[in-house]
Amino acid sequence: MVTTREARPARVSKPLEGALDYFKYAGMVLAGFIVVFPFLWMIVLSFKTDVEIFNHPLAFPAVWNPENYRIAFQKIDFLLFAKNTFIMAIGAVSMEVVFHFMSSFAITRLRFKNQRMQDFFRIFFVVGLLIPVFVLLYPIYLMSARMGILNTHFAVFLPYVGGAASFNSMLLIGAMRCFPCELEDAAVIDGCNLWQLMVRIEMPTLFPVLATLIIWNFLGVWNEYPIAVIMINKEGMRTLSLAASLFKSQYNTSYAGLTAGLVVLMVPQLVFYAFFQKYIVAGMMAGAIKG
Amino acid sequence: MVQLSTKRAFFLLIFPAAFLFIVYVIVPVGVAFQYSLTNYQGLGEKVYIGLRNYQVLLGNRYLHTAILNNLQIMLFNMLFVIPVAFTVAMMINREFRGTNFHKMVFFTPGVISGIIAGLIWAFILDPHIGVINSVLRAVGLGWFAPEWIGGKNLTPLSISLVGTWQGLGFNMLLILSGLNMIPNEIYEAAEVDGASRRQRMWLITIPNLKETFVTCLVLMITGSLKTFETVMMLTGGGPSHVSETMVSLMYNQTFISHKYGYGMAMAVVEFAIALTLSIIVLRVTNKRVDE
Repeated sequence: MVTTREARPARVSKPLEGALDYFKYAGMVLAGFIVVFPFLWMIVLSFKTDVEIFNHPLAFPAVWNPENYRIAFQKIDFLLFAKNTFIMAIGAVSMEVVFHFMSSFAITRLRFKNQRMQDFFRIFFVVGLLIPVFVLLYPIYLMSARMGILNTHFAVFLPYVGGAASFNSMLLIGAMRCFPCELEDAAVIDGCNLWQLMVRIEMPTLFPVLATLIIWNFLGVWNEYPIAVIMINKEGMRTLSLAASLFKSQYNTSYAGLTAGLVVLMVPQLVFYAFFQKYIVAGMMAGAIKG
Repeated sequence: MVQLSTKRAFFLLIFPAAFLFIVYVIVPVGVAFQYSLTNYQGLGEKVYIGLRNYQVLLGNRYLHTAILNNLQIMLFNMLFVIPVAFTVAMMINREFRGTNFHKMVFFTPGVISGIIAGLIWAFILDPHIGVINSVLRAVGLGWFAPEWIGGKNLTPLSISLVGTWQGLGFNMLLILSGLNMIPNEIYEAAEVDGASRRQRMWLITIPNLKETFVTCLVLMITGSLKTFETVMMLTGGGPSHVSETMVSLMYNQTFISHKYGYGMAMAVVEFAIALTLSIIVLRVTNKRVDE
């Protein structure tokens, strides 16, 4: 799936012809507006005062006053939460790239007379897709508490690495199956060992898939909530998702302040998306195959 | 390659991924089941009480409500997401200028976390200051303005509105790639035979997308059962537990009320429901796809 989307030749955009085309085009623009409206509305609200939000819910702000943003930055340590999130994301994603690449390589590329072992592990990993995270929450919490690692980055990102094995195996095994045997054999004859084969031959060739895996899992950690919320109860360790979930109690009655905080959280993520959307979409499509 | 494929290499390569997967996914399922047989409440030793937790669960009114809410969310998702995503995909399928931009736009809500999506929509759905009811009041339909969230009945509908918003782009992309796989010759032949636009849609496009629709459906059903972040942000399960979903109820029992044993029994039951439903859907639809 990842490759088919990219392999498709770029089509030239056609001019609009006839009433139906104009109708479709108008529908597309209207639907697009409805989809972005909630984002735009947050921006409008974030410049209003609380009194305006309550008394004139539909009006634009009388003065476009950035006061709410000043308060948001005062109240919430966005940089600290971003730092926590990125440490966890980088920790999780770097381990995933190495570990899941290795295991998928062992499952697809090693050659044995009897493939039973490889088939077993392939199914073993992919079965995890059927296990929802909520069953695992308390047991993972309990184990982490026993190990004494609650409120650390490890407690949050190690479960991500464990759980992501299913999706990543599916993605990588699918891609590695297509890798040409001849290339491998030639490299081995030239004296490559397994490690060199993986790092110098397969990794560069599979770069597009790895990029999808990296971006996709990075975004996954960024958005993850259930595991983060049970592992972290110290303010200094909070992630961006956790920070958002606490907005309601933090701002208790200041809706205007809350919206400003939301905009501050949303904008970096939307920029990230705009940069990497090609890979994110490819990951989504690959994820769909599991259904 | 064959000489490099030793058993030792295989196990070394697979070990790190398999170890974390076992520790964080496989073992926790067992632990969850073990604790579901106890009355553990966080202090003292856990006492095994057999299946008593499950007996109590059967009569739990809140769980019944939660299951019904989940079923409603699933039903509304089916009614909204696929038709809307299909309509949008049909509008966007013709490559006009700007379609790529719109694809990106439709996908944007799927990139942010469920927490942020829930908070954003609280400002659209809020009965007093929300956009929808404010517009209704402004056009003189104030008597109609319902309690979208926080009332007795409508929260599942509202949750699936947010779900539709977040899932629209993803389902649209799936349908678009399904559309791309329908060979053009079929349409050309139909046109020669004098089929109208409408006939082409109902007799060619929709039947050929059956497999895509099934994929959307399976993902939607499994996704609906995991609803958690949105309900936490919109209502927190309240008032008095009427809007709980299975996962939010389990979370509240386990981590807020500290009834760990009872909470785990709930988790096991929910896992069983989710697993059964996914397997049924896969079985039933596989048959249909094969026909």
